[in-house]
Amino acid sequence: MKQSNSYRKQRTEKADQLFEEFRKDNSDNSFPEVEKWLRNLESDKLNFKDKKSERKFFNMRSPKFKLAYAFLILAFIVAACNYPVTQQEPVADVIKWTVNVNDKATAESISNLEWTKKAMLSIKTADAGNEIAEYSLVLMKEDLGNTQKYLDQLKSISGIITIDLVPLNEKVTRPVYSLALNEIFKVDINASNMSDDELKNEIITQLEKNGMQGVQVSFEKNAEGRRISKIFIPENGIRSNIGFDLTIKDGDIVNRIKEIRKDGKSEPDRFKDKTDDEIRNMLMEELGDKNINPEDIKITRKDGKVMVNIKKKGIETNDEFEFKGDVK
Amino acid sequence: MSKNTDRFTELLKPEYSSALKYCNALCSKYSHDAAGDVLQQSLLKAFENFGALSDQEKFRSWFFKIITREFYNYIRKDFWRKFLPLDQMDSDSSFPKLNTRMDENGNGLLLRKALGSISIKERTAILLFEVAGFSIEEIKEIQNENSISSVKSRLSRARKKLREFIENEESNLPNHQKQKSNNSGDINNETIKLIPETEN
Repeated sequence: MKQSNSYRKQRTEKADQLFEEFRKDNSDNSFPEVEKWLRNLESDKLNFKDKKSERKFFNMRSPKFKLAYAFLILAFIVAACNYPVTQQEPVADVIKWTVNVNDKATAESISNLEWTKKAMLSIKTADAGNEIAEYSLVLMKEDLGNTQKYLDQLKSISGIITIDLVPLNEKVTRPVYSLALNEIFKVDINASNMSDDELKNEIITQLEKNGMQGVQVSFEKNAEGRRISKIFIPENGIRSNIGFDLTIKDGDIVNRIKEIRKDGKSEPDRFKDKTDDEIRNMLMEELGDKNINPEDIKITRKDGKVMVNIKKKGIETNDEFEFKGDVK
Repeated sequence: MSKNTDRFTELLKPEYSSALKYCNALCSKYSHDAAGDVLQQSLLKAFENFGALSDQEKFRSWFFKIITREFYNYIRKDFWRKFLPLDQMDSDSSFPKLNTRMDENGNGLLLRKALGSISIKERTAILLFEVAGFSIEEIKEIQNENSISSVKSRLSRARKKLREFIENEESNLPNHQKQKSNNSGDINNETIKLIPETEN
């Protein structure tokens, strides 16, 4: 009751004056039009009833439904991206061609082609008793672009008896999203109890398993006498469009080499005719790591080759990031 | 013509003006079309469900309860509209254009701003009491409250907030605007009062 009294007391205020004016305002005379609208609704009543039931059961435009759609679509996209798909991926092409052993002219023409020196040669005896030289050349993934060129060159030599192309494919199962993104593989090695040789073998095995060729590993001791791994990966030893993230934990020292490759960034001539400062600017732009300063990028030139070494040591941890590569 | 429609419009007619005012004041914080949309949806709902109303004596509180619920729905949609591209409320293009603009000057603007400063439930309660003239018991039913005391304290809180807002607004007004807001409506008298002001 006390509250009611105080409420009544409050009513004699400016707000009452405002409400009083608002109540008295009678500027609207739209009722006849609304009444007409209501009567028109009556004539559509049958249709209206159908719409009503439709609205109750299939009101797909309600916020709840829209939120549910958004969630379902998102869940579907996540599930679809992680769905494992198997695909045939070309690993290499094998070009085989045969020549009569006695056909010296053809053999000479073949030997004039520089790339045929990598081919394996075997001698076979054919049904007629003639000896046939069979050449086999395996073109790895990075050389697949040359296959057609090599075939055309072989076809232009008249003495070649047969030319065969055997593509080598492998079945790869991976989530859909990894197909859409650049490939990257991750290797973690715990080297705490490994000898230098064991660690070297482990690194080379892991990297070769992921398609890297010509990996060289050496070790150095730092000022505190701890082992630092030096890994050299030649530019053409990595399949194009593949990245890697190698972490080696050796006691309390962690070495990490990470490279993310993007299309068009690994052309052999990309550093050609460039000054050291231009190369540094290019690399800093490509890596996009604000913690890397120009002085962290060491460039050495030898026999027309450019050696790039990016070294960054963490301040708070013993993390060491290293990027090495040589480019002609 | 159906008897139901006749009866519905007959019962609606005396309530229409307060219903429109109630919608205008409720939606004072939203766009000018909001009040029309809320009233249209409420009329549709009421018209659809009129047959189910057993006691037509209670039409008034029943109709205002529908308006209140539709207003809450409108706010909920307004909230979701920020995140999802929701369509405007299902509006019928044949629905007449209503005068939903509150007085944009003087006291009308002040009331609109003051109502926008209080919570939705407080605004609903004070408007049901002041504009629609419902008793506290009826407001309890419309707002689905369990006790009368909660409605009373809500009204008291709303009034206190309105008073504070209005006092604050008036203290910030320049002198001549304060006088203008207190004018008598007599143009000759007001002109006489203004002459010495302009001479200074």
